Amino acid sequence: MSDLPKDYDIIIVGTGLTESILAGALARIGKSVLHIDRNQFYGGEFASHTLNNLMEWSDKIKRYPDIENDREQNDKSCFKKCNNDLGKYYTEIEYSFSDLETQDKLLKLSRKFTLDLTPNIFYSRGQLIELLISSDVAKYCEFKMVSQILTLDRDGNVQKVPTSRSEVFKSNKLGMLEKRSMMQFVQAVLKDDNFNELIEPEQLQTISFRQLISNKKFPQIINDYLINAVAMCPNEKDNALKGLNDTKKFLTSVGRFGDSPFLYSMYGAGELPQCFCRMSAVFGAIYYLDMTIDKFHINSENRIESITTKNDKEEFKFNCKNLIIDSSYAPIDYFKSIDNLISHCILITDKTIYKNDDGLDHISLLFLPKMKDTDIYMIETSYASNCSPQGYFVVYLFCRNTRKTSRENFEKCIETFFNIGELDENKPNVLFSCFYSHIDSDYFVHELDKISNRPNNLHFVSGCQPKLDFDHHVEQAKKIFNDICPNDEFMPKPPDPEDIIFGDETENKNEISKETNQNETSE
Amino acid sequence: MSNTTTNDKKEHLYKILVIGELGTGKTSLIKRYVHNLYSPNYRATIGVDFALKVINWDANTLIRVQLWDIAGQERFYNMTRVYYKDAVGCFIVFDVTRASTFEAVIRWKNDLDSKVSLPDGSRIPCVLLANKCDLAKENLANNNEQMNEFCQDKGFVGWFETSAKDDINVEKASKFLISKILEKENAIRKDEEKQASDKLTLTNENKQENKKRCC
Repeated sequence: MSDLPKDYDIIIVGTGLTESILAGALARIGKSVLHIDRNQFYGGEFASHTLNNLMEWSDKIKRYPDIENDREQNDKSCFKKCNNDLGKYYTEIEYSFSDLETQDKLLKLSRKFTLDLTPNIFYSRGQLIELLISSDVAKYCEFKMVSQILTLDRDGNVQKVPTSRSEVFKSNKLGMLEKRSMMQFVQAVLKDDNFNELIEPEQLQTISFRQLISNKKFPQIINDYLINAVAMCPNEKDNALKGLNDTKKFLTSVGRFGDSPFLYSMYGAGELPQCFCRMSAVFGAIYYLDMTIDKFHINSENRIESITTKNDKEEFKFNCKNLIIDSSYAPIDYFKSIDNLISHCILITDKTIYKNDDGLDHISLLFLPKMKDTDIYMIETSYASNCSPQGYFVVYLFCRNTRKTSRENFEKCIETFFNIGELDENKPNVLFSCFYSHIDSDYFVHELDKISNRPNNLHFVSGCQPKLDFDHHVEQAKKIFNDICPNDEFMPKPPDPEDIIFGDETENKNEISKETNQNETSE
Repeated sequence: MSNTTTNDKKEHLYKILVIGELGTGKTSLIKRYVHNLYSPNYRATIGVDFALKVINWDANTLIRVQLWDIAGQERFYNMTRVYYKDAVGCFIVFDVTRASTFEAVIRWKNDLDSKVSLPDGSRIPCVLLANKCDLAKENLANNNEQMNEFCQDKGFVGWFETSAKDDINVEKASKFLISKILEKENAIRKDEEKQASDKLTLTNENKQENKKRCC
């Protein structure tokens, strides 16, 4: 470690998605980048774990000591001590197995599970997919279609939502008239950006999407499809413009790579930060994981000059011109307890929630509006994405926390879909469950940015949001990139390795110097 | 990785990793093998994932070998999964003049085996390279019997003394590794048929793009 360079253009702390995109973009244009993480693994809040590692991760967070005691060190004004207590960021972590026998069985398969701390799926025309393609980082990753978009009908049954034209026409849930009115609406949404055929311009932000749809007097089933499965905008605060834009995003994504609008990352969402980190490393960034960030030093001009890191044995100081830092590492005296929380649940089950006749393994999305007063996103993956062994399913639930504990948010949802108490042979059994909540770091970053004496070369980055897609992170990365390098291009396509012919500079120089030597001797 | 057959000529694409401690000569070995160049002053490779070599293996077989050098993570064993993914062979390189680089070999081998395996679950063929054999040895690789035993013990398919500088055994070691990969061909192909059917890699010009798009 002593042979590491000491000076960097940018030091990035945390290997979550936004930080990793930034590392890639900055290294790509030739900036010197040091990228650090406190964990032994990539991804931070976005990591994917095996079953064993997920258990270790939650045990470790539960063990984090209360670090209030460390505050006494923080009396000098020339440095700020960073937060290293993930127990301040995550709360309410718990996990359990259905019984001991199942536990043994699952733990033997531990490595075949890929469990995402921040699961997500991506619109085929979302910003993340566009960035992967335009930057060529897509060559590092593989995707599968989210093959089933599901919805819960009024009788409490799970229904598959038709997404392509042929599926709409094949559907036996819709009558001929219903099919026609749905297609007409779809065509009107795609026609122009102001949605002139559907709504008066002044109403776009004044009425809700729900209101707009109900004004159209569609049959109930189409209302439900459009509001809950296509736009996923069920609330009064979701205005017509948002709903129509989300509908359009859904519709334009259909057909790009297949019949479904959504993609799922093979081997889990934790692959994505690593793809950007690989690109960053190929362009010279230095990676150092399992490294604690201790404190950072602020100079008299209120700029961060350097950071101190430490591992078991030693302390190191690195200088930087800019510091990008995941908000969970924010200095202790900036760190606040925040009431806005996001809750997650990971389940391992033995059956799918929607049995399709085709006998294939699927990846499914189910949006559950107002499930116990919060909207819940449910993603079910299977062997299809290489995230579980054959015969097992992984279900992710996430939402804004409105309850006391993370578990309480999902209780009703779990009762609806899974075997709890009464045995129903058709319902999946829950073999393993894990619950956790964390600070809504978007809100936290907003608070951090308001701190008046915040050094101006310090950039905070937020973690996951209870939303589909990672567009938010691409936007955030572009914004910070622009602040640091306003005149540079954001992640241009790198040269194709198959096109590169090595003409080695040093080799040429050597030959030249040899020649000059010879000349000298001959003289 | 992928295999295609055209006009009875088989084509294989193999991803081979080149790992080992800093300064053991990984990049030099790759450049010697792929471009037949040697220079004592390589800097870390910037902007390139792999070097490609196309080999006419025999009258019926064309092999495209991607040699993946490790990038800025190399000092600290912090490889991304992306780097290991889909690899079918590996060279672990140490420097015969520095004992510490040999001691790290086991750590690299363990890391490799914990992060990647062939589709049938078996270990990927890995060859140990005792590089810089043109220079004085630190009493490491000069006992053949011991080295053979070490390789057997640690699961290497073989080892070679190499020198990128004097072009010793570089070609031979690569041929040996590729022949070991070809022996495993069935294990590699099995996966292709089973899994790849609906896997998507994203490019801008997707075939489906112009199909009707509509809800």
